[in-house]
Amino acid sequence: MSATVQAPSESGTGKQPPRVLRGMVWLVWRQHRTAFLACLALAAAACVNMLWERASTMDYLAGGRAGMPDGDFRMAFQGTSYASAFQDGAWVMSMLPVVVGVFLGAPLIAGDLERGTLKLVTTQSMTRRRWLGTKAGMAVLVTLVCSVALSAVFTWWWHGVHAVTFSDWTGSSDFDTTGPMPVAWSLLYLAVGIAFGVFVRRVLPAMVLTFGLFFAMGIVWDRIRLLPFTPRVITNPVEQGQPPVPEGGARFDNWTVDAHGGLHGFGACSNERTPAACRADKGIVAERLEYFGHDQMGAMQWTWAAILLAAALAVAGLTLWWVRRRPL
Amino acid sequence: MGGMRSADGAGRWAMEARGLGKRYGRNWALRDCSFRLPAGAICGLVGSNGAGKSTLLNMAARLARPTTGSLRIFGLPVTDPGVLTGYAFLAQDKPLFPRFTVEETLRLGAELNPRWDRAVAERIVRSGKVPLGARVGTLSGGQRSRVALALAFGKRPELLLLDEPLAELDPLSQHEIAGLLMAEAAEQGTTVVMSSHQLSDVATMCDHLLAVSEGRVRLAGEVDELLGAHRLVTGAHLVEGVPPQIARHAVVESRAVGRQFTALIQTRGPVEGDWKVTAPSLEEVLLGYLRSPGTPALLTADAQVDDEDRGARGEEEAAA
Repeated sequence: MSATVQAPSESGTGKQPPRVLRGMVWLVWRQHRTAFLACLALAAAACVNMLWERASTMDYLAGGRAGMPDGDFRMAFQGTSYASAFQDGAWVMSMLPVVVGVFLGAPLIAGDLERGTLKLVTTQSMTRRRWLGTKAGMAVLVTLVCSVALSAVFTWWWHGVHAVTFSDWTGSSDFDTTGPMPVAWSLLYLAVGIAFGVFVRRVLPAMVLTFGLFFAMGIVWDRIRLLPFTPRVITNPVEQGQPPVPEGGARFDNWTVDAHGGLHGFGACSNERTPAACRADKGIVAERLEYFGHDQMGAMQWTWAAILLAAALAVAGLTLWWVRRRPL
Repeated sequence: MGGMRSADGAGRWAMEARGLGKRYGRNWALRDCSFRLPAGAICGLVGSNGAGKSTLLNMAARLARPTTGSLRIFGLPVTDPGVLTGYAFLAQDKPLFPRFTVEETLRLGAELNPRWDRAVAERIVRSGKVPLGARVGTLSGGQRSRVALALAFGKRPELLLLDEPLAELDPLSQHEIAGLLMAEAAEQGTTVVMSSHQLSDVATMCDHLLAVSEGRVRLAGEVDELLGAHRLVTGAHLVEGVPPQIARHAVVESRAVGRQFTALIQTRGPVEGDWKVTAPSLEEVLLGYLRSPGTPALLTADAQVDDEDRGARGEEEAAA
């Protein structure tokens, strides 16, 4: 009698779709297929849209310059629909992690706790660990597919466009939306959403908490993003004025420097009636620029991505520990 | 009997608890609980709300971890994942996925259980005329219970744990589901432990009884044996307190109303004197024990765990 399952050819109730997925994977897919398919479909649609927008933007950039000076051209680009489409794309990328956390992560386990179906699933013949592992694994897989595809497409677009925008790549709208960052953020918020779901055992509060953390994190994040990194320095004699930021670089800070190497604010004498006399008085002899070079961007993003992934693993570990010590 | 597994006696007992306890925060939901239940029994688990019935079932179903002591299911410690294939559990609210069709719900059973018996599960569903293509969320309470039971029996469990299986059902569905339960359990030789508030259900369906009160076992054993050990005596209320003829026996509960004295006693030999002696009903015995927390618990010889196994208990506790 135990062989009945192994015989798919056995006459069934008529329409029998082929069994592609089996065991726990089938159950998790069946239970969450709406959310999984919605994520995949939205990501695919966003990718197609971004590719289309990128193509038209590149056409415009190739033909539209018409001998304009760089600054003017940037101003002109800023007013076009291409620039606003790009900003919309960046917004979508910045919201991706919270969407993953709120709609994929938070209901993943909390739904079963709220409805009581955890008692149904974990009293079949498979262990609770297997159930948790399959659920988390499939959610991670969907998150990875969506975020890697979106990030690849948007990063490609960004490389074509960022030179003619005014935004600074150390800002969140550039730094967090390109390269490995959207993937790392998405995985972190997925873990956070799952964890909140397990702790509060209700879908809606878990979603609200995940959303709340996203906003709180946004405030903290702007203060800590550049802290782990050392900016590069260019120093000019004071007569030459502030050194220009090298091509593709991002300004971090400006200082004035006296002969002993002491730093003063970059506007130390600019409001005086005789700036030269003021500078001579304070002994200021040089202007100093601190900036991040464009070639540092990759290393900075990968460093943060590694930190965020470690945080995601820590949250996942904490959740697992909680699940194991508590009766569910 | 279907539940028998081995000659060494490991399969003789469907459930064996030794010093079993469960604490939630500071409160003990179940405390120092020792009993055993033979394979093939249909056991009613009774007690008031919060007495520890669900806690015991949850521990047997691996949904809660024992705080102290040990629990064995057919000889295997409940902490061993090997227990999973041997039992089925039906929670009180009968959780199912509301958006799954009945057919998908049965497929869930097939996908997650190596010993799945599709024929049994489909027979149970079909005999209730539950449409296979219907979504579970659209079914009536009775139909949902039937689908949940199909899932439980399709697993081919040796032990079936049911938490209030008939609660929240209309009388007709109650009758139908109870009949289905008894028929399938008899056919497959399944040991059943079902908690219930309805003493009448327990009286008609169960041959064994486990009564808990305030987290402790009060009665355990075969129903006939438990009933046979007790007598209800009625007579004139002539002396203050319990009359000496009655006090010779173990008095579970006594009451004097006007000039009439009534007592439920556990007999020690024949009752002497001018007393009207009747056999009590299951309900009378149960209520007597549940109302009198001072009376010592009664476990029949079969329901008591062997003292010679105490060494094993210590080892398990150390391992936990």
